Amino acid sequence: MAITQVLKARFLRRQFVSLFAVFLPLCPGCVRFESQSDDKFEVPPAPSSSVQEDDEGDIEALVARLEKETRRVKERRGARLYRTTCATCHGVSGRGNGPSSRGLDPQPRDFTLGVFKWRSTESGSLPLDEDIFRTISRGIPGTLMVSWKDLLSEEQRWDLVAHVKSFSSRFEEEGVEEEEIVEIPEETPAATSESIARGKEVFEFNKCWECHGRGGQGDGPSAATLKDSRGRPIKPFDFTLGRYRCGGTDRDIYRTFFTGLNGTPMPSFADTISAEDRWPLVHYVRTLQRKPGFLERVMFKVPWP
Amino acid sequence: MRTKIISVVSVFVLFCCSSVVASPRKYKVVEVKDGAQLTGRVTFSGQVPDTKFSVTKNLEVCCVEGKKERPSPRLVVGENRGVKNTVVFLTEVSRGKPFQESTPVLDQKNCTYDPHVLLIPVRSKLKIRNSDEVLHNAHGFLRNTDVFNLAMPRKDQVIEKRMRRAGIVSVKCDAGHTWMSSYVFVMKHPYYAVTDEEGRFSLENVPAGKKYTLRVWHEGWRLLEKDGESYSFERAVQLDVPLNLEAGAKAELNFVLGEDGTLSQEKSKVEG
Repeated sequence: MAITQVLKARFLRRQFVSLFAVFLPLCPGCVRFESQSDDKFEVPPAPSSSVQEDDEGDIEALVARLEKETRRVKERRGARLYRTTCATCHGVSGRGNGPSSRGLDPQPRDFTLGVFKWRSTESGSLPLDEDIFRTISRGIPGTLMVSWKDLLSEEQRWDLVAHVKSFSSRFEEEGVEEEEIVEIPEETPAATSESIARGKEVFEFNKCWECHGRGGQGDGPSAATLKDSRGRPIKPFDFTLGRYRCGGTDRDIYRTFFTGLNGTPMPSFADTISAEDRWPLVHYVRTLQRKPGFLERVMFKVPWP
Repeated sequence: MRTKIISVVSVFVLFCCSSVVASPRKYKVVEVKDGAQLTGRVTFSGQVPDTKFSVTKNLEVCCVEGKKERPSPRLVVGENRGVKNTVVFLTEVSRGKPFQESTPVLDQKNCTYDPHVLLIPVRSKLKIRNSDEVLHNAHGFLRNTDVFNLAMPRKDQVIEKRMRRAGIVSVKCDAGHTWMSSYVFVMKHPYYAVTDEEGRFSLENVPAGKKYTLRVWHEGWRLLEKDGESYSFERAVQLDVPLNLEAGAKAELNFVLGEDGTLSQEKSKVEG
């Protein structure tokens, strides 16, 4: 009896020592081998300000590490926020299959594919961080995606961007190159009767009506055959409703024409329509919008002309 | 207690490993001496099915010689039962011969993609051309994600697009031409070949002394369902063959595509 007890004690002690050995390097601050009093503490010499050539690589590596670390912190904060604000529709795993997603049309975005409709990059490319941020902030009119601008702080929305990006490995593997970004002019020229007439020609010539219809109601000859990238039927946009999901400004509409909408049949016209014909097309499609009636003006608070 | 320690240690080790991101292996061009040669044929067995379909839109442009019906480009059985448009490639090659200089063009003519199967090195530019007087919309997919989606309303319009991701890009037309389809193989190394009309292929100058996997790929051609104007076909078939090539070896490998949609290997000859 006594022998077994001794053996047991010895075994436990050995286990304790090995456990201690494992945890010791993990917490360097918790054990001090030398006691240091304040007066003995020496200030380490400041690093020389002139950066030597050999050090440049180290500094770059340090900056990269710091950026990575910051991103991780943001992702972690974003993940916590995501679970309470986004997961009910987009799902905890980001596949767009949360408990509230049933029966929604359009379905919530599946973040794992890395396919985003609203970008400022060319068709097939990943979005910029700003694009995801804009969608979160602005929301998507006509869908359940609300505007989070007044509900979350700017920092919180950026944290969500970091977390949304972490669902797809494409962001890590591919990234966005400089030449993929589509330039959107800052200044938007005002519509004139000439520009609208020119826009109508551009609309006809580039066969926008094949899908969107001659009157822009989304009833063109090809409309019935359209499918999204998951093989589900999809309707072309009805310009008469004028509820632009991508945002209501002229620049937003311009962006959609020349970046295309990934995951849908809407192509990019960046290589097709010349620079001078671009704004007229935007001006023309705006004229297709039906004028709101009395009830709509009252109900949706549409300003009177 | 011991298992606890082991699990603590293993979690720590796993954490350390996961932080090291493995960089994707890049292809390196080297001089190949005494390279091996792979040749062979892909043939069809059984009765050649009738794959004819009729075009349903823009008939004045899409019909060839005034005919609405045409055979599907998905299965082309040529002379001596050779199967065209089968892709034969090695899966993982880290070093070897340089790429051949070429500027591949994917042409849209009579509402058909020409060529039906195209090979292009990764990061090079693919030229897409519209030879028809109708709107075409070249929409490329790689595993459910878009690669490009370009509107081409003008005749003789050419758009260049850099292919940034390697893989099998399937191209479709959203402008109502539901029958149009094409495959662009974006590849990391030059050891790829498409079979010709007789079903022949050849891969030259393969660095010897390594283990390879030869993959034979043929798109699905059996019609599963026709829903209105949209067709759904059987999925692509592929066959992996492990290879161990010695210096200067000449291997002949023959494959058979069956009428039931299966792919199998005939007995092969290896010399030297």
